Amino acid sequence: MAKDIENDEVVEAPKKGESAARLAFKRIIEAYKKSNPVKSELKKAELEAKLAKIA
Amino acid sequence: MANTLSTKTLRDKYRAAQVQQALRNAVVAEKVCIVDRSDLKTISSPYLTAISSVVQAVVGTYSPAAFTTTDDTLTVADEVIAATHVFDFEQSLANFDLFFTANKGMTNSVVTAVDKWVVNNLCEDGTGAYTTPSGGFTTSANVVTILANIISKVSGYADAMNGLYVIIENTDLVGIIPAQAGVGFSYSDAALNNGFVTSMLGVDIYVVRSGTFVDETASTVSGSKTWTNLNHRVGGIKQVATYAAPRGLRFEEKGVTGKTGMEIATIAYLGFKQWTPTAALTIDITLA
Repeated sequence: MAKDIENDEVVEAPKKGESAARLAFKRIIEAYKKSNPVKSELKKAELEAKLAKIA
Repeated sequence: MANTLSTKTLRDKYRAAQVQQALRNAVVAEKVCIVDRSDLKTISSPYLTAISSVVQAVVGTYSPAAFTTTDDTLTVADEVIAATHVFDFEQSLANFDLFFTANKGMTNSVVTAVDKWVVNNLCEDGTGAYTTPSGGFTTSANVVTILANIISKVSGYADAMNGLYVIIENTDLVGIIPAQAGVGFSYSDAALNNGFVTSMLGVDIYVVRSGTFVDETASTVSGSKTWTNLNHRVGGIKQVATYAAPRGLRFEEKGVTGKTGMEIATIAYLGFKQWTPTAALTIDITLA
């Protein structure tokens, strides 16, 4: 069953050749923004760096 | 006289006792959190607004401020389940005590899952923050500095009397053990008990296995939670967060249609809350 998409949810289309690990981590970042917005903002640079390291 | 206890009843008693004992003795979470084993699905915040005292020249008058409760709750919304099926031919033909082995395996699995869940939530919900020097705990020269920073961040509060802790992964010991040896602290056999390698500078050090601090969202590891804890550790003051395990662990043993033997399931319900007024006393440590 398709996932319901909230109006304000931004769904980024997967880039061609993007690995499953990278997509999974992007999902974690998106979920994290919702579950812990304050800390997500504080850890923004760290999460981006982690994402950049994932091939 | 008739024996009124069936073999199954004895097994259930044994299994419950074994897992409860493992949970209370082998789980780091039980040592650093307040554990609530009541049947409550929601637990209200135990904290009230802080009261300010006024020092003044003697005059005899005062202005009372309203005392309010904090609207904050812990909700039990996750569960851990370990389930297996022991076929009768395996039970009957085994050359060893299959029940004991299966029970032990299930105990270890549940205990590890509960610990990982609580420790990651603790790390995630703590608002205290500290970034270690490059190399983190694995660089021996950093260890004393890191512990000093943890102590510095939480000292001066009465809660510090609960004791201080830091939870590390086993791979961090390559820096911690030389640091302990270098400053004359003993650690030896205590490492085998609760993953607790004694304390250093008054900070109790608990060790969990590599892979405990992870990045997860809504998975079979994190349940309903989202964590970004890879390359993080947690420390601070004990007993400022609550972990709820209503009724401890529960067991089901049943024969199922179409299969010989027995299906066994262990179930635990879980809730966690880092209370807002004390969130800064739990420090999310970032490894540089």
